[in-house]
Parts: sequence; structure tokens; C-alpha cells
Amino acid sequence: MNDNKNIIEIKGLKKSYDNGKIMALNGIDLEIKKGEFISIIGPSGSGKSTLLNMIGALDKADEGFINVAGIDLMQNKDLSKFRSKEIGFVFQLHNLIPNLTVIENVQIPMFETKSSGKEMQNRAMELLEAVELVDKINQTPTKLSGGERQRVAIARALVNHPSIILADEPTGALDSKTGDMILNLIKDIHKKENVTLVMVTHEPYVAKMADRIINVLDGKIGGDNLTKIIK
Amino acid sequence: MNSALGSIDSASWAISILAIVIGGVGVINTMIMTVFERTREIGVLKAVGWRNSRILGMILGESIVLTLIAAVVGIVVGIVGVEVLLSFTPTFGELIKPVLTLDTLLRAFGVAFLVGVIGGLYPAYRASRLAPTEALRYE
Repeated sequence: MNDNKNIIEIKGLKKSYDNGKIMALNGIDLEIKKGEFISIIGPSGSGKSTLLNMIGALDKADEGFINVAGIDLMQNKDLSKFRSKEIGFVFQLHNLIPNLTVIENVQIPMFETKSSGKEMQNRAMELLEAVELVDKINQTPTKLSGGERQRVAIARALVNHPSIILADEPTGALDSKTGDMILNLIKDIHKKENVTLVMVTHEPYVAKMADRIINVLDGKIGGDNLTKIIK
Repeated sequence: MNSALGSIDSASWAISILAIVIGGVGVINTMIMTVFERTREIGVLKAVGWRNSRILGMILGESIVLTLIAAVVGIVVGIVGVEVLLSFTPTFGELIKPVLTLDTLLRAFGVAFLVGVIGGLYPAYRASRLAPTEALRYE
């Protein structure tokens, strides 16, 4: 699956909030290979979501080194192009725009590419077919179930052919049956599209699905390759 | 007569300027509320890679559209309102005939556009500078 080339390299990454009173990340060292499926686990407040936000360039670290898909995130100032091209986010709460239709929600990230209207339509339809929502393209998210909304969010995350999918507790707001369906969909997409998948979760059974498990505790990596222990 | 008309003209200018100022403040207020209500949405747009300039353009565009629609409504209400008022005072109506020129219309749209730009600029700038993580956490 992975080709042994690091797509994410992090060294000594630190991030604090509230003028240094809260140390969210306290010297993270991490390497993730292209095509890997990684789970990040840890208790609430351990820093796992902060780490995911750093990888996705949603937030900037105070110090350290972070290189994602060949881009030095500490040096680059405008990271919107990086996010548009390389990253697909799946949030716990789908975060769809309520007054846009399903297909419009999927197309949103494509506005930053130079795609034509037809290309946008075709790509969105292709993905909505893959997540089995073609019959709902003109509905607004308010009329969809939680699982359907998350499937739209997954389609949106994939629309620009990102090299990395970052999922922050994608099943956290779903019942177990729908959650399993979403996890299987994410796994299938990871295999088919050969994207690197980094998923934050606090549920061990979800983490077990990954190739590798990273345990974050008090802003540090407490243990790598915990798959066997959890299993 | 001339001095009376001059006073009316000055008063109408003063009222117009006041209306523009009040309208501008109203637009700023409306657009700031819009930005507040859509903070999370703006966070999502940033997360999926929208540039700050695109977000600024979106909010500014909405502000301009809002004021141009207001201009159309204002012009229609103004024309109908004058006719209705004159119909209640037939003697006065015979003395003064309302004249609507293209120049007046263009000026009205110009002012509306300007109010849209000025009123929308600060909220649009604020929206474009929002930190993605904070915007996504916004309840």
C-alpha cells in the first residue's frame, strides 16, 4: 500500500495556548509514509486534534519542524493552496453548509481550482455515486440523516484528489451501525484512491482498523505501533 | 420662491446624507451579524482551501448585492410614495411635478454601491482574517 516515502515528517513540534499555560503539543516526532492508514488515539485534551490541525495547516505550531507533502508548513505563509490541493478534511460534525445542496457542498473545494463548471459537475457526481447519494444531489443537508451527511462530507474531502485525508473522529456523532458503515467507506476509499489516511479517534475498535496506531498523551507521543496491545 | 426652493433642496440633501450614513451603519451591522452567524461556515471554507481574498470577495459581494437590491426597492417605494402623496394633495400636485431622470437613477445606484462597499469592507476583512481552528470551534 505505502511506497516507503514519508509524506508527513514532524520533529519537535510544540504548540501552546493561553500564553504558554496550556501545552497542547510538547515535542512531537512523527513520520508517516505515503499511503499509510494511521490512527491517532488518546484521551480528551491529549493533543490529538491539535496534531491533526497542524498536519492540515489549520493552525501553526510555535516551534519545531513539520513537512507535509513536500511543503514546509512552518515557513509557508499562505497555506490555503496547500489545503486545497493536498488535504481533505472529514470532521466529527460533518460541517456541511446548510443552505447549499448536496452537490454544491461537494463542489465547494473546487472553486479554488481552475476546473470548469462541467468538470466540477462530473467530479462531484462521480463521488456522490461512490457514496451512493446520487438520488439526493439537489437536497439540502438538513433533510439528510447523520450518516448521509457524513458521506457527503467524505465526497467533499475527496473532490480535489488530495494526497492526505484527515478525519477527526468521523464516527463520533453517529450510532454504531452508521459509524461502521462510514468507517468501511473510508477504508475502501483509502484502498482505492491510495490516499494517506490519518484518523483521530478515542475508540480502540476504530483505531484497530489502521496500519499503525499513534498514542498521544499530554502533548507527546506515548507509544507507536500499539496495534498488538489494543488487539 | 427661489430661496424657499433652495431651502427645500438643502434639506433634501441633508436628509439624503443622513440616510446614507444610517444605511451604511445598517449595512455594517447586518454584515457583521452575517459573519458572526456564519463563522463556522467560514471556517469550513478555509479548511477546504478557500483563500482569504475569496472569502473577502464573497462577503463584500453579498454586501453590494444587498445594497443594490435595497436601491431597487428604495427607488420603487420612492416613485410610488411620491405619487401617493401627490394624489392626497391635488393642489400641491399641480404645482410640483416629480421628474425622474437617468442621472438620478445612476446616482442612486452609485451611492448604493458605495454604501455596499464601505459597509461590507470591515465585516469582509474580519471574515477573511478568522483563524480556521477558532472558526470551526465556534458554536
